[in-house]
Amino acid sequence: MNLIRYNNPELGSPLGTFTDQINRLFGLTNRPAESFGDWSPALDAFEDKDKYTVSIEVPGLKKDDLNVTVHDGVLTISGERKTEKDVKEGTVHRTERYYGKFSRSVSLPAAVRADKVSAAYKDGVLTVEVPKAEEAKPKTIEVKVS
Amino acid sequence: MNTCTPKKFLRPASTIVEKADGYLIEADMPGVTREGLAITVKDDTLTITGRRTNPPANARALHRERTNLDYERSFELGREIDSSRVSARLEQGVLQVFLPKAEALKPRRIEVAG
Repeated sequence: MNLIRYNNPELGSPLGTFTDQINRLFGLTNRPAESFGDWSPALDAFEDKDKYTVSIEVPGLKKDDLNVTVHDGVLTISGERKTEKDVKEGTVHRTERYYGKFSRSVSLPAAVRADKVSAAYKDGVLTVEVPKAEEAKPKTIEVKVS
Repeated sequence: MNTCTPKKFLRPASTIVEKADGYLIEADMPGVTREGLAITVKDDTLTITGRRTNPPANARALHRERTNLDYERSFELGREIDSSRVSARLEQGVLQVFLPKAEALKPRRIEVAG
């Protein structure tokens, strides 16, 4: 049994808050990508014939500050963006960037190879590839003419 | 060339920190490579632009929050900046631009004689 934290839209991410409230108003709570934490990095999910690709914008992290897990069919990407030393040492005139912990989860379809998930961090974007299981790949069926 | 609609850009979220010897701008530009980055100083304006690589063409989008827009942002430079010595580096989607203060404006320690 997993505990699911209630995500208060008033305290949640400034992006998508309005949509969340409209969804709540109409009882549409099946959000495709859950988010917890101090900030909600933008996430994309794509599908092609062999795999699902989830990418998330998390600039300026160390590789060790990122975690990718697959548990019970849920892919979770979490991490923490720490305040840089440079920022701590000077006088901050303006700041718009988000810091702190984040966690994003996506439900995976059943027919995936959870043991073959791979993740790469490049240019501040984490890309996770989830290969499809053989049975989920599109098949071409030959039509016999008799 | 005349275009009817101006190109739209995304303004990268930035932090501006003042240090003893200059200003440091840190801008989040995830998805931008070194090749896609341009930094220009013209008159008193510093402009940063970042081109991103588009998502795979043969894939079907299931859920989208990221945008395809390129980044652009301009900063007005004060007279105390020595624009000839501006330096920059890009690491994991974060652009750091250092704007050094002109020598005459740096804090100096004055020795007291006697």
